[in-house]
Amino acid sequence: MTPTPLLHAQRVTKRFGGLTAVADFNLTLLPGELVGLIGPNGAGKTTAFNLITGVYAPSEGHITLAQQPTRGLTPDRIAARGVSRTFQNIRLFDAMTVLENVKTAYNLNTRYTFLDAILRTRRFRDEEDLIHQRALDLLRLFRLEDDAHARADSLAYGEQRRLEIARALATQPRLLLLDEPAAGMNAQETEELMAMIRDIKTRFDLTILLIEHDMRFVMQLCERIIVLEYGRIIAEGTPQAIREDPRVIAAYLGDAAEGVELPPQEPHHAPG
Amino acid sequence: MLYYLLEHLTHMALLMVLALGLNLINGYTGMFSLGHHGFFAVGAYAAGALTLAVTPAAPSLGVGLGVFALSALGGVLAAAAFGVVVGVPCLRLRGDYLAIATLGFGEIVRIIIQNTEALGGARGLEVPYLLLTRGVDTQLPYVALYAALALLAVAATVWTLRAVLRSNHGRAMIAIREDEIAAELLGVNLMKYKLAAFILGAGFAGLAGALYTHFTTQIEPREFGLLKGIYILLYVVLGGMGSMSGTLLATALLYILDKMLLNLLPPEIQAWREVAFALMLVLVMILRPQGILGQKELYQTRLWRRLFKRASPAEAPAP
Ligand SMILES: Nc1ncnc2c1ncn2[C@@H]1O[C@H](COP(=O)(O)OP(=O)(O)O)[C@@H](O)[C@H]1O
Ligand SMILES: [Mg+2]
Repeated sequence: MTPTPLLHAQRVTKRFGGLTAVADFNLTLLPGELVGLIGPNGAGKTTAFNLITGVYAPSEGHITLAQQPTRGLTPDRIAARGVSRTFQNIRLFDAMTVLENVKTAYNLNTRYTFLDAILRTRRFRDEEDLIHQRALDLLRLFRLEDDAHARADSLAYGEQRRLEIARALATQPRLLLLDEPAAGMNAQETEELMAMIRDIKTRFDLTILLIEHDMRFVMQLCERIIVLEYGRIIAEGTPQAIREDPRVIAAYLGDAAEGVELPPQEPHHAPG
Repeated sequence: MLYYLLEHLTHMALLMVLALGLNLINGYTGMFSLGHHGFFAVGAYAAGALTLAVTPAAPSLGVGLGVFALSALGGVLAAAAFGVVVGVPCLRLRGDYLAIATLGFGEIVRIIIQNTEALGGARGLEVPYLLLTRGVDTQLPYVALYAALALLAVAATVWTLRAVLRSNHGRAMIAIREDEIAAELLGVNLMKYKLAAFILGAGFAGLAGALYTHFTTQIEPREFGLLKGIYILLYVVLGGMGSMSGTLLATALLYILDKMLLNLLPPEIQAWREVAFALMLVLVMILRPQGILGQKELYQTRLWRRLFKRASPAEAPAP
């Protein structure tokens, strides 16, 4: 018997005016999988994340999380069902400290009320202590504990990317979506990030879907890879199969092999 | 002399309560409300109407105290309820649209009051003295009492907002200001926290309104106009959106400046100072949108540390 899928996207299409950003997208994620989503810039990868997390409603098709449809749910409700993510263009709470960034993501699981906070009840203090401890533990895991009280935007680029992952984990997700987590990192940082992703996957029992342009990174880390082009899935399979797929080589790896670096900038304001 | 000082202190403290509440909405949660004076009016008139409805002729001190407390609570709850009524439809609007909608709310409240005979219409409302009578020989104790009450209200506001802002509920509000989309994707219920900020801010405006009614015992609709809203907003913007001590500092400075100008300027150009204040709001927003203190508190500034603390080890020059 096959296990029930954690995420199931069926024939999902998203159109922006005349532009079809994602077309007929099918995806099934089983619990514990680590899947890569690749494709040239503008292929619709980030849009797929935005559809899964409820930023956009699909124009067609539907998405289920643990067999529950997500249509009509706001992003915070979808987060409450165990989906968390990072962003291609880092979106930290800049003026807050590193520690507060992580604490904020415990909001979903905060039980004390406003009145508890105002009266500083036992419930408030106990829960805040717990949040404090857990947030620090997460920072330690990502080697950010020394910067706990620094402003988030004072961190170096690679650290900001790690903080985004730490913050995403604070919602206690089952499904983690990472949008270009290694972008802007140097070789050593990328290597460390790979180890961190493997570590948190087992530690927190996660299912992970990640977008990444660094081919070595994706090939080494992911068990299964999906390739998007012009919003459509053009190939899907093991890293080995993807590497040898002529359509993929033509569409994507061919460019990379010739050293063509595609600009990461995007012209719109949707979370990227 | 002391009498005048305490009188002004009371008015200033009530403005502080108003500005602190608006700072929660505009400064910490990152919305842009221009209708805070509307909540002030609701609190003032609710307390006034309630007082007139329940006060017997020649109330004893005990009864007076009871009516006072009841009407203050009524003012807070009425304003908070208006926070919900205005908030639910308006908080879906963004930026400028929210500003226009709340500005409309403030004007509507004033116009409705002006045209409601039961609330005194344009003439205003007069309430009886409840705690102390303000006679020739009781001027000083009267203003001293209200100055103390108003300062207590400031303290309660600071305490409450600080407690909220240091909790995970407050963090959610600040996160909305920082990045609404990221906040929502990390599980923050936008409507809940925007509405909570609105209700809290409105509730404190209601408290200020109730105290204002009992202190002055006479209120008129024209005191609750847009100009009041602009003054309160200026305190928040100049002090720093997201700084409570900045709000307190700016309110004090601008209140004093306003009263000095009122006394120094010849009567025919006195009204121009209001224009100057509105202009100042525009200038601050263009030239120094973060205000005097930005998002820092006074004790976090360099000047404060230099004045009141010896160099801490972290700040001492490296060997
Ligand atoms: N909110 C939006 N409005 C209009 N077009 C959009 C929007 N979001 C994405 N797009 C367009 O959809 C296409 C796919 O974008 P995206 O999903 O960001 O690609 P990728 O992440 O694969 O680089 C692009 O052409 C992009 O310009
Ligand atoms: Mg993208």
